[in-house]
Amino acid sequence: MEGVSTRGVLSHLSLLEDQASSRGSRVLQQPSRVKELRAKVEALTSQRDQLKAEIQTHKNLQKLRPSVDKRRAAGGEEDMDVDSESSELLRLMARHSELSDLLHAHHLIGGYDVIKTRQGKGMCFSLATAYEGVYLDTYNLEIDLRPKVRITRHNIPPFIPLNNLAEQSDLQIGLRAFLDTVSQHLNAFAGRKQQLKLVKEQHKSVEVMESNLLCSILVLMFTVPKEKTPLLCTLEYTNHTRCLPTRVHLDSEDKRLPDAPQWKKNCSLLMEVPVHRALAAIRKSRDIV
Amino acid sequence: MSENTEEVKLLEAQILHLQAEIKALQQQQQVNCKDITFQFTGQMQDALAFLCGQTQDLEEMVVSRLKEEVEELEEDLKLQTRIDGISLNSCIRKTLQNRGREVVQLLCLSGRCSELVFQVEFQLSEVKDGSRTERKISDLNLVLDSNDLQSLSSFLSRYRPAPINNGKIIERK
Repeated sequence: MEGVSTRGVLSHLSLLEDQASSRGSRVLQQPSRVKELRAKVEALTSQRDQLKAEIQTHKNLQKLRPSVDKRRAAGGEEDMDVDSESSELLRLMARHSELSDLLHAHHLIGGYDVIKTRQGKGMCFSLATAYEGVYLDTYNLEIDLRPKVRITRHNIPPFIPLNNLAEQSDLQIGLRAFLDTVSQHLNAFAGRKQQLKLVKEQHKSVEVMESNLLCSILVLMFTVPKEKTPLLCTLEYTNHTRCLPTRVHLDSEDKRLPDAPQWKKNCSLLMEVPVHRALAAIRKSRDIV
Repeated sequence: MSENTEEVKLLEAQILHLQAEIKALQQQQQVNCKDITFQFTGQMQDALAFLCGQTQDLEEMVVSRLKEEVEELEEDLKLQTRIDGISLNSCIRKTLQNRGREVVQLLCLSGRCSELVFQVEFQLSEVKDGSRTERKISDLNLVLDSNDLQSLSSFLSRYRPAPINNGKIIERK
């Protein structure tokens, strides 16, 4: 409708301009002003049509992809609308979108992002780590497939025994078992490291006396209220595939303290619950400041 | 001279009308662009440009280049499925919030792992902090065709807020 009226206006203006120029207009300003305005109208019209085309294309694409709202409205899985008017291009775009989303989903659920390298002779894996719903560092590992399956490059820290794990898994047979084990070690390490970070952030009254790179040893200094007795707590994480300690040990000048019933309870808690959360509970019950 | 003034007035009115239309369309497009699923790169970008009449390329060229890229993605997905041992059938994404620095999406996945068929839904929030991106998962819902949900309850409780009571952490069933 606007198209028709725009053309109508332009042709009317054209006519007027012809009439004016045939009458020999004495005002030199006006025609160039009209020209300027007509050019602007043309530019704006093309910009508007452009926007309309983009929005319509988005709409068409949306029709071809399943969406959350459509699914909930229909109450079930829906086939992609096969519209006879959809061009092959639109269908390809929808499939491209779907594949990208599926690959992204593999990435989000903690899959080992794999890229082929060296013209298919190698593969590079990305191992993601996460703790308590927060994604942490990602590590990369490149593996050559020919002539033999072996690890070439990686950025995994040296305190993770990569070569030992590779030997235990027999890479020639399959990579999954090996990757699963490495991922386990990395995620446990990331979890322990994150817990240490949270302890430092959330519990300033607790002093971190000692920790190592692998985060498999943690020595904390508590202050018991009333007498302000210092209490040394050592957490040993000997199972490197876990985020919880295998041993909790208390040391104090007051020899009775570690044997007190509430401290036995607290030690149990520290074995069962991640340290930053256990400390929150212990502080809440006022066993430490 | 009166005709010219009339023309000028007409044109100026037309310009105002077009500018208002454009503003409305741009606002609509802003909403579209906030949806992550419509942020295209590479061949998808070229295809979109073609559909909007922005390129001189022939349709066959655009189609064949996109087809090539789609075939590569099919291969990538097959390899990824083999490596992960999980087969995903569908992934539906919805952008709930896009404030530039923070993007929140709802994701609904369905798939199969060994003999187990599952559907999982969660919210993903991504916050840009300099060069790093912090990603968090929340509101996890899992539908499993299995009687054995007990072993998963501790995993599930990590992605749903759990109340702390008397020093013990109570897991929500």
